[in-house]
Amino acid sequence: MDAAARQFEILERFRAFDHWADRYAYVIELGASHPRLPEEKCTDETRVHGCKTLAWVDVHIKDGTVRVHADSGSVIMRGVLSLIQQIFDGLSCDDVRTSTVTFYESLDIGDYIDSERTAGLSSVVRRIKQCVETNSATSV
Amino acid sequence: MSRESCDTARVMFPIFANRPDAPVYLDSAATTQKPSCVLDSLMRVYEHSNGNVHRCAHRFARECTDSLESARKKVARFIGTASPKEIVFTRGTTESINLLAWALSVDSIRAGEKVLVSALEHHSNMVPWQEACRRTGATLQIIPVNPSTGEIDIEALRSMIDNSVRVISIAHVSNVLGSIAPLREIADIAASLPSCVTAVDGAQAVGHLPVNVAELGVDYYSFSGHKMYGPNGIGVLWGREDALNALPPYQFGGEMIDTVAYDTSTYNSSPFRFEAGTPDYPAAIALGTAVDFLEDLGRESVREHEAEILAYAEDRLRRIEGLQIIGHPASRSGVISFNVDGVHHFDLEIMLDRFGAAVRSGHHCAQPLMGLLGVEGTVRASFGIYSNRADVDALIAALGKSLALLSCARRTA
Repeated sequence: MDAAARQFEILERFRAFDHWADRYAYVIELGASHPRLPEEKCTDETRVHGCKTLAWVDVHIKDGTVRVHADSGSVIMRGVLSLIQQIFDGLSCDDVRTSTVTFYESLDIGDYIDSERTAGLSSVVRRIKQCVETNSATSV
Repeated sequence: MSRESCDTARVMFPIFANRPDAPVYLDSAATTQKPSCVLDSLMRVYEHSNGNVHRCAHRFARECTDSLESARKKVARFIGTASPKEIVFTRGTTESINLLAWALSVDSIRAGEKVLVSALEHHSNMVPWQEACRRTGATLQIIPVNPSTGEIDIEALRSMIDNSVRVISIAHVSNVLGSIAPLREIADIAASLPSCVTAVDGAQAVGHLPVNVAELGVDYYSFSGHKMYGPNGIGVLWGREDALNALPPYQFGGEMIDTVAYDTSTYNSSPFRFEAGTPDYPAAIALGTAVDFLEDLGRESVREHEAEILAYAEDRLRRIEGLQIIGHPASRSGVISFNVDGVHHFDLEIMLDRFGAAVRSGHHCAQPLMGLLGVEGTVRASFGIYSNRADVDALIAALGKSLALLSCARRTA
């Protein structure tokens, strides 16, 4: 499934909720069940700068497949990061390079987090693309 | 006026009637809401008498100049000085402290000397002094704070004192912990030295407590209009007239000049010496109105009203399981910071807003203090004259709902 299809599926999941509290509960549940990045991988190198709440994203490329693991101390932020991870994790390098992440706008992500942290999510996406583009991610 | 007036002051703030849908406002430490009289004052300048101030004889200029200088006198009286020449209008506390730190770094602070700031300072009262020390070769030293009470360790300060200390710069009230600094005691310590001045960040104090710079014995005092029910973009640096006139100007041009030739210029005396360019006279005039507002309510009445609301808030917060109040000063003003076990402060800020309470979370521009406290950030509820018990009750109700929704995250934390 490519990035566009993954984003469509995420939006469909959100549209099933009628009430804002249910959408929040879903994001919080996503964040609570999201596997944490091991502490030794939460470094200055993996930290996303430009994100007001501490967030990290670890990117590896293995056999041309991009592996992404994002994390944050905030469970709501972690839930949103898990959605970004769902979009990118397992894609090919070409798919990551060419994909456009637009689900924030459709989801009104600003309703869940403030505009500064929305800008932080853009930093996460840029970081993933940059790692793939420069191939500076650790190759396993 | 009386406590009863303080208890009903809320009606003077149009934003509350205009926004019945909004969460209760518990972020006054970031900025206060504005009473109608301040808003009217601001608009009145633009609607009735707007004219650039000083050095002009036409009626618009005269009326605005008179109003500006009347506001300056009001501000002087507000902080306990007779001389309006000691009131410099700036853009706010940050600019005031930057101006002072820069000016002192030109002639008054030298290599090998020391500047002392406390461990709980806002960045605006830390970074300018770091820069002053970097420029001059002086050393910045940190006065310890008791992390449990949030109070400055006076005995530790005494042990740091020697003749090389040039500046002690302290927040009157901590924007994170609400603790009130013993300024008189600190000023007396500074006065025992041959050449040490005391500078005060009064941003969190002037809207909440009576302030008298003469009684405090400090040398400089800075504060912001927007944190005392005045407009944004205006603030004050107070200093004794002789001390201000000994400082070099910070910016050049406009009202700060006396004479200008192609090759040299002479400068005006305080306060204009530090008011380059066209001042924000509408905001300064409206700041004067904010002073009237607070004085009409009564400074002690304001303090008593807020003390009661703070005590009520602290009592109700303390009963919430897993909630830790950060800082337990003997005297508290304005703010209560807290965290909840297993809950990230940002998550709580978001959910509290959704459930009806507007608070702020994060490092509150005090990253070093957060490190001292061993936290990434805190949630902060901060109160103003319009805050009441119903606001506290709404906060507690919102906390209950927020923590219930976040409970699955707490279980896995």
